[in-house]
Amino acid sequence: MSGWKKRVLRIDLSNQKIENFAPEDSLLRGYVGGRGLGAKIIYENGEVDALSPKNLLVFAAGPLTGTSAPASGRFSLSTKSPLTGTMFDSNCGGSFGPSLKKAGYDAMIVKGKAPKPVFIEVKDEEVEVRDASSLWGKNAKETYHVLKEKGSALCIGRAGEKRVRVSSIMSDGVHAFGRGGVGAVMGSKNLKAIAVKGSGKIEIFDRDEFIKQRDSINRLLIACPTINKGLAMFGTAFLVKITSWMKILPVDNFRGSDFDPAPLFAKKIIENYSPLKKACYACPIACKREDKKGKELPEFETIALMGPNIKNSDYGAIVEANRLCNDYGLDTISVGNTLGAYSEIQNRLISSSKLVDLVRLIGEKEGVGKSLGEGAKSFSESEGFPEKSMQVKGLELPGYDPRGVKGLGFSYATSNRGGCHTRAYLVAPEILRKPKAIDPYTFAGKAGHAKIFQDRFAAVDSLVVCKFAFFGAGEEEYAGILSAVTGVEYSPDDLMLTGERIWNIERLYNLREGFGRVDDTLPGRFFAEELDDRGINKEEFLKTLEEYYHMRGWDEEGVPSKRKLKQLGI
Amino acid sequence: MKELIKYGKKMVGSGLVHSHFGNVSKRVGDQMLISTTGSMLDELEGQIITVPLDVTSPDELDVIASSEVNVHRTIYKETSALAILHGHSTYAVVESMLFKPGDSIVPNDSESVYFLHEIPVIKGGIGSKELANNAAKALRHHKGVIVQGHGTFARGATVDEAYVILSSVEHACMVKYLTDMAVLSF
Repeated sequence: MSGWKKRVLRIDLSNQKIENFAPEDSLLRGYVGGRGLGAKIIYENGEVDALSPKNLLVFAAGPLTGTSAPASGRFSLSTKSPLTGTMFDSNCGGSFGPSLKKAGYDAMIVKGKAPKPVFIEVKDEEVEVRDASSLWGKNAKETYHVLKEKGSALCIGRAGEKRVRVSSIMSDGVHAFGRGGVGAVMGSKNLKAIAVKGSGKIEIFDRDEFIKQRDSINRLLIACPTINKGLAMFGTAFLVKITSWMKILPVDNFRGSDFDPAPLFAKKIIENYSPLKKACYACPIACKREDKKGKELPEFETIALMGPNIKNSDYGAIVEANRLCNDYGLDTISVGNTLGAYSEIQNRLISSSKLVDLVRLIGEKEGVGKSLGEGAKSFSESEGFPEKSMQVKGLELPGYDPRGVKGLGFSYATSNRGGCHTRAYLVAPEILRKPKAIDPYTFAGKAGHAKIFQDRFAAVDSLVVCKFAFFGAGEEEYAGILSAVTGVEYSPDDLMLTGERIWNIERLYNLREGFGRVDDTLPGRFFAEELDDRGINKEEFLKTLEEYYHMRGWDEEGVPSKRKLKQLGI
Repeated sequence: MKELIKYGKKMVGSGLVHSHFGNVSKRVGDQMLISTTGSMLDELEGQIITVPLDVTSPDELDVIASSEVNVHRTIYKETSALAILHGHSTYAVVESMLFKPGDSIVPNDSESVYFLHEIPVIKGGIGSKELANNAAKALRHHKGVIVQGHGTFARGATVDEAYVILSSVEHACMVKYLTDMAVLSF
């Protein structure tokens, strides 16, 4: 078996014990890496409080990580979320994953709590837990600046230190392990940063076949209109105009449609900022954008939630709020969405300067920022308006109104980590019409679409590959390149089965934590209020949920059957 | 927009194309109305978008526009067309495969000869620059052109005229094919 390093680094910060272990071949074959490996480890860790020393941080690469397989530069983090209480995985670009792999590890598991602030330094075989007192209190960019000579580095900002529940972990200064408050988990362990430098190579089983598959995938990516006319041309911001045309861009906390988003269109941004392209490791797409001075420009989701969602058309203010979020280590979707709830509850708009002030308060956990930083659900409940939080299982919804994209909305409801678009990524067929256009305005067939796409992307997150590659390529191509790298024969069906196994183990974890059918739903607003003559019929939704459980081999309460678990080898 | 919806329905209803096989556009000043990728020609309500005509000024909506969006743009730039219909009509596709790119199909029915004179056969991959340039060049002097093995591009001053041309090309190819078959069988 090539591709994998067959070595996992385990660090207990409580006693500074550092050890390696070799995962069994069957574990690697069955869960592949990344999110899959993380899910298995988190499940077996049992029931823990998210901010206790017993919670784990599992940073995991995949068998393709560190090779030149297209879009394979991402890596994964699994933990229990302090925001949702579910099993949680987050996925990040940059170069940390390839560096970890080249240092000789498939994954790094961190547990315990250091008695004082520390950072972990990995340099191939040498692993040290070092004092980070001088770094504590610094934000992400300054921390990265200090550590970058030590290799690829990820760190938390002040928000993570203060255990803000919408905090992120930042990688290489600008890439984020977003969503779910993963930064707070790191902060709860007094772990400020991890720096990795690796000098090894990734063994490839069949290099000729690998090159053939790699070149074939690259050709597909370059020829794909979503990539060559969208992501590569404009960055993710191209979605602002498309979602606006479809009338699914959330306006005023998912309440209205009276907003002109034209100043936020990608073409306007190009005119005003002449952005430069940035790419993650081994990525031919290059979707990130920064301005001429190197300041990162916001992604679509950030623009949607900090723009229309709070009725703000000041792009400059969004750029600054985005930069601040990245510096404090805050998730921009959760922050923007929570501010939508804040604006509705306060019944007043948030000005540009107020937006920036509020982000700072959340990062510092001061004033109203203290309750806003707990996330939309907690904030709205504390204000006495629980119905005003637009979230599922405690995770704030992203920038697509589910009333106009029913399959995507259904996938929010059934997502294992809460209101998230990336679990099934039905953005591809329902909005961008890839690999094939499906009708976004109906629930018909969506139970099946949700299941298939959820399984698909659970596997993709385990390789670990960027979802954007799947606009152009598919399971066949990536099963081929995975087989070439590892020497283990994977078919497209094997990948889908792997994804289904991961999805089910995540579900089992959440059931054990007390989640169930009642949590597989959407905020009441979407059932009760129509927008642009679009609503969600509750009966139709529930019928689709029944269909979905049936397709998954789960009972009417959403519990996987013994037969299904046996079939998946769980 | 209503015109495009109407003629999209007619293209399918009259049997010129199956539902997914084609795209439609109309020029409005320096903009173009065009059907979205993957949309069904007989269900174009809510499936028409507006994008700039300038081929050097790509738009975010190009991502969901017909994959032939740049072919339409180039034809508008190089010809006097104000409307373009594209359909994978059966006999036109069959006849195009009996000819080489660069050839012209000469109809043998009197009406088609009168309206079309001849129908150029060109080559080019779907949505490619080669196809855009070849189609635009051929449509400077002809009203309809067939991309080998793919389908017909018909231009007009109105959507209605483009529809007549699309129908005429298919009619001409059907008559020619059936006549040739009849001759062969004697």
